Amino acid sequence: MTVPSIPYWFYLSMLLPGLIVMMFGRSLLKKLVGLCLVQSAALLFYILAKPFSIIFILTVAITGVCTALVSSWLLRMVRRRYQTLDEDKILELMQ
Amino acid sequence: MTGVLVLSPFIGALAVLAIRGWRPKRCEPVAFGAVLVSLAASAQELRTILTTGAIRHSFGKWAPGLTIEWVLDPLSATLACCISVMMLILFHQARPSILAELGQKRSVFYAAALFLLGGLLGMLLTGDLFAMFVFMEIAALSGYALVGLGEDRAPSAALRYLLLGTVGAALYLLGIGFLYAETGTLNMAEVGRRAVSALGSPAVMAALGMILVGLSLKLGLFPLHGWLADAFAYAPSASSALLASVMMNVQIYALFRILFWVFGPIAVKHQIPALQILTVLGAVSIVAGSVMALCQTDSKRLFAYSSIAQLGLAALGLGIGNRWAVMGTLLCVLNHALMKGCLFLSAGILALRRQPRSVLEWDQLRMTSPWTVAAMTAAALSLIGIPPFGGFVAKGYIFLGAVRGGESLPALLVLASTLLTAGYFFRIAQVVFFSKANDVVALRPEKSETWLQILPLGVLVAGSVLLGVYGMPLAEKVLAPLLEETL
Repeated sequence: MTVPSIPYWFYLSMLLPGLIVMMFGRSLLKKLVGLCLVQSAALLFYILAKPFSIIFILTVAITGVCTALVSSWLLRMVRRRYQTLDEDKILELMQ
Repeated sequence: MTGVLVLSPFIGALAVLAIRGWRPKRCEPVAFGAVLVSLAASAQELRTILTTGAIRHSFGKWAPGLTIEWVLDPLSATLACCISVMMLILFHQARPSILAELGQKRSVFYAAALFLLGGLLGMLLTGDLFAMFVFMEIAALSGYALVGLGEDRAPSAALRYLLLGTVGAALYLLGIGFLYAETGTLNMAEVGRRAVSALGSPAVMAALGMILVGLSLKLGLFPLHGWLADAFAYAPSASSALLASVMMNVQIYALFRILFWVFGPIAVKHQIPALQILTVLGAVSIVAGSVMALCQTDSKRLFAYSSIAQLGLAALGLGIGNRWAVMGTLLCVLNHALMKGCLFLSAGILALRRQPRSVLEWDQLRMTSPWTVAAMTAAALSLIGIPPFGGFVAKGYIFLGAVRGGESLPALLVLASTLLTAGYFFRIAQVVFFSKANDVVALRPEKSETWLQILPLGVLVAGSVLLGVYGMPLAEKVLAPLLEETL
C-alpha cells in the first residue's frame, strides 16, 4: 500500500486554486471551472492512492459528470434569463 | 426488503422520466405509488427490526473492507418511515402548488423528488462512507434541480447552491479518502475500530476537519449558509418544503452517525475538538439565523433563516454530545421536519390564494385564510418550544443535556433560542392578529380554503402534538437504549 507516502498537502494545495477561482471569479462560468478543479483534486487523490478500486474512481468521475451536466443546465437558464453570466451584472439586474 | 425500500424511488423516478413524454398525467400516480412502496417496505423493516434487532446486509464482491453494507437499526428505520410519510404528505399537499407553479415541468419535479427520496433513504441505511457520499450526491443533485425548476431568481439560487454544495461534497470525499488511506476500509464500523489507533495522525485530523466542514456546508450552518436563504426563498414552495423538512434533517443524522459511530464519542469529545467546533457552529447559527430572520419581511426567506437557527440548535445538541442532548437533537430534527414542512406548505397555499409574500402585508390573513393561519401559528409555537408541541420536549432534552453536562453557555443558548424564535414569530403575529385590516393592500381570495388543503397541514401539526405528548416515552424507551451503546 503506497498510502503512507501520499503527500496529503499536495491534494489540499490542489484545492486552493479552484477555491480561489470560485471565490474571486466574477463570471459564473469561471466559478464552474474552479469547481471542476476542486472536484479534480478529489478525483486525483482517488486515482493516485493506488489501493482504491477502479469502481470508486469511476463513481467519483460519474458524479462529477452529473454535477457538470446539472450545472450547465442551470447556467443555460441563468444566461437565458439575464443575457449575461457576469455575477455583478446579474446582481444589478436582480435589484 | 431493504433493496425494495431504496430502489423503489429510483425505479419510480426512471418510470416518471420514461412516461413523461406520452403519458404526463400518469407521472403523479407513479410517483405516489413509488413513495407508497417505499413507505410499506420501511414499515415492514421497522416491524422486523423491533422483533429481531438490527439487520446488516452486505453486497458487492469487492476486497474485504470495500464491500458495501446496509445497516438497519430502529433509529434509521424509524427515520426512513418518517421521511417516506413526509414525502407522501408533501406530494399530496403540494399538488395544487405544483400544478400552479410548475405546470408542464411537474413531471421533472416528481422525478427529482423521487431521486431525492432514494438518495436520502440510501444515506440513512448505508453503513459505508463511500456509499453515503454517492447517495448524498444523488440527493444533492436532485435538490439543485428542485430549486432550479422555479421561476425568476431560482436558477441563479440553484447554481449558488450547487457551487457550495459540491465544494462540501468534494471536502467530504477527500476526508473519507484520507480515512481510507489511514485505515484501509470504508465500512463505518470498521473505520471506527481502526481509527482509534490512528487518532493522533494529521491525516485523520484533516479527514475529520474536512468531513465536518463539508457536511456543515451542506447543512447551511453559519457562516457556511450563503446558499440556503436564496435556495429556499426562490424555489417552488413544494421544493422548499421538501428540502427544509426532509433533506436537511437527514444531513444532521449523517453528521451524527459519522461523529459518534465512526470516530466515537470519546474521540470527538476528548481527543479531537470536533464537538467543541460543532457547538460553536451551532451557537453562532442559532444567533445569526434568528437575527437575520428578525430582519426579513419575505415569508419564505424568514422561514429559511429560521431553518438555519433550528439546525443550529440541532448541531448544538450534537455538540453537547451526551445522551440527553443527542436525544433532544433527534427529536428536534423530527419536529423541525414536521413544522418547517407545515410552514413552507402554508406559504404555498397562500401563494396559490394570491396572498402577499411579505409578512408586513398579512394583516387580513386571519380573515381570508383562517385555517392556514391556525396551522402556521401551531408551527410557530412548536418551533418556539411551547407545550404541548414537540419543540418543547426537544428543547427540554437539549437544555437538560447542557445542564447535566455542566455546560452553562449552551444551556443559556437554548433559552436564548426560544426567546429569539418567539421574537421573529411575534413580529408576524403582531401583523396578523393585532393590526387593523387594510383593505387596500391585501387581496381577498374568491374561495375559502378547501379541506384538501387544510387536512395535511392538520396532520403535520397533529404529528408535532403527538411528538410533544409521547416525546418523553419515545426518548426514554426507544432512543435511550439505542444511544446507550453509542454514547
